[in-house]
Amino acid sequence: MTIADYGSHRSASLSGRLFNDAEDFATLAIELEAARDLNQILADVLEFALTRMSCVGAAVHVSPAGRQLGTTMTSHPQFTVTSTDVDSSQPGEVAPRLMVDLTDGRSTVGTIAFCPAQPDGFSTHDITTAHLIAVHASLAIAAIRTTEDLSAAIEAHTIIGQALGIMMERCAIDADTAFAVLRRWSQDNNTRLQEVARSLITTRRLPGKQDGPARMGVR
Amino acid sequence: MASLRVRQILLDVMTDTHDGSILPGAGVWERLCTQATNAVPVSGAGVALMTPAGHGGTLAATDGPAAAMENLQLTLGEGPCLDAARDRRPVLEADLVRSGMTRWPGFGPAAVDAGIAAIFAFPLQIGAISLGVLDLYRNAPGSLDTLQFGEALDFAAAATTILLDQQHEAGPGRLHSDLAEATDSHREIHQATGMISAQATVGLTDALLLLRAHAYSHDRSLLDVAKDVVARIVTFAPEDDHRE
Repeated sequence: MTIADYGSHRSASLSGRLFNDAEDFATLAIELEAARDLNQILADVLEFALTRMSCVGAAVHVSPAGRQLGTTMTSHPQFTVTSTDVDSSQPGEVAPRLMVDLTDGRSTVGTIAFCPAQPDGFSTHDITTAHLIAVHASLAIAAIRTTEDLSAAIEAHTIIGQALGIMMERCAIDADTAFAVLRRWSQDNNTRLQEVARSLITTRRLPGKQDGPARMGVR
Repeated sequence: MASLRVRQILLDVMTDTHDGSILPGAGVWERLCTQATNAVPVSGAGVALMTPAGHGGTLAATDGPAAAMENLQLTLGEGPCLDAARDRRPVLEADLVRSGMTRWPGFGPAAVDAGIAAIFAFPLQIGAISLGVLDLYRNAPGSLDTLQFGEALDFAAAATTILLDQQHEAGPGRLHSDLAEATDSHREIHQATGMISAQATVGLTDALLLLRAHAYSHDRSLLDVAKDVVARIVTFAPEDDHRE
């Protein structure tokens, strides 16, 4: 995915005008907080790098974590986090890319790569900027992922409860027994509890069972 | 990223010993409600989890009408906190008697009966996801001035930070005990919804509406009726009416 595909909601105030670094990063922080999702965050971060650093291309990769998918975004299709073929139109030797890890305080969540415009690489100022960008990106990524985790965990409680209710009624059992049955099916079929519950709600039968709901009994 | 004021609120709310007036044993969410009530100031406050399906459980509420405010919105499935979470922006109703009655035909009159005159709901959100709502109410009509509005927004920002902090601590796929307690308090509602869905052969959304209609028409809380459904004291027949 490239930032052009995703579009951008960044404010006009960032383009062209010269702010001091602190104001720039404050603006970035506000933009990231307003970002709707992970891809929007990554697009904003890359655009910021292109605007504020002497940088011809940038790419960011976020690793999968738990049930969350990984994702990659680039400023230009020819530029990826792992590719060395940066920009053939650039004259002369291409300087090595600058790679900075994104961390959430516990582990590395991804990597951001910057390609310098100058053959002799990035200035000290640009390197500092790159690391600050990585810090802002890491915070925003951690916040959105934690939010998604929390939202999913709350939803799981709802779905499991509803599935238990259906079983309680169909099989005339109490909540504890229904939970034991659901958990056994989850273990026997090596399927997560909430997936078993979701499937039961949709199909009105336990996964892997050919029989109808009337057979949804206990041993 | 957080403003100085938000950091100060977090410091006050997340440390046990800062304010001697706080009840011993009160958790972070109780302290947040108490301090928001004192700081904005308003008559009372509540914090609730929100899901795309609606009210996800009350994390804490100050004594008196605040608890009623949360229960009413849960029972009726309407109210400022649900609007704030859905629209992802604050809902400000400075005079419930004058304009809230038509805005929320069920919640408005019941909230006024409970002693609520003005209500202000602030979403706790990150990106496109609403996780919860901070509800503030006053026992006299009147809007928040600019400073009070800013203070309320800072409390909402602090509440969002605490939610994320608790979830980060619990790890993916798990819920922090504070949050699990709030969602577990709805256990019977989810189970009853599933049971009614099977009894009345309707979808889960309609099943919840049947439960809600029963609670409303019998002037009972959703949770009480749900417990009766789980205990098989109240049952619903396929032809949409119910037996007791």
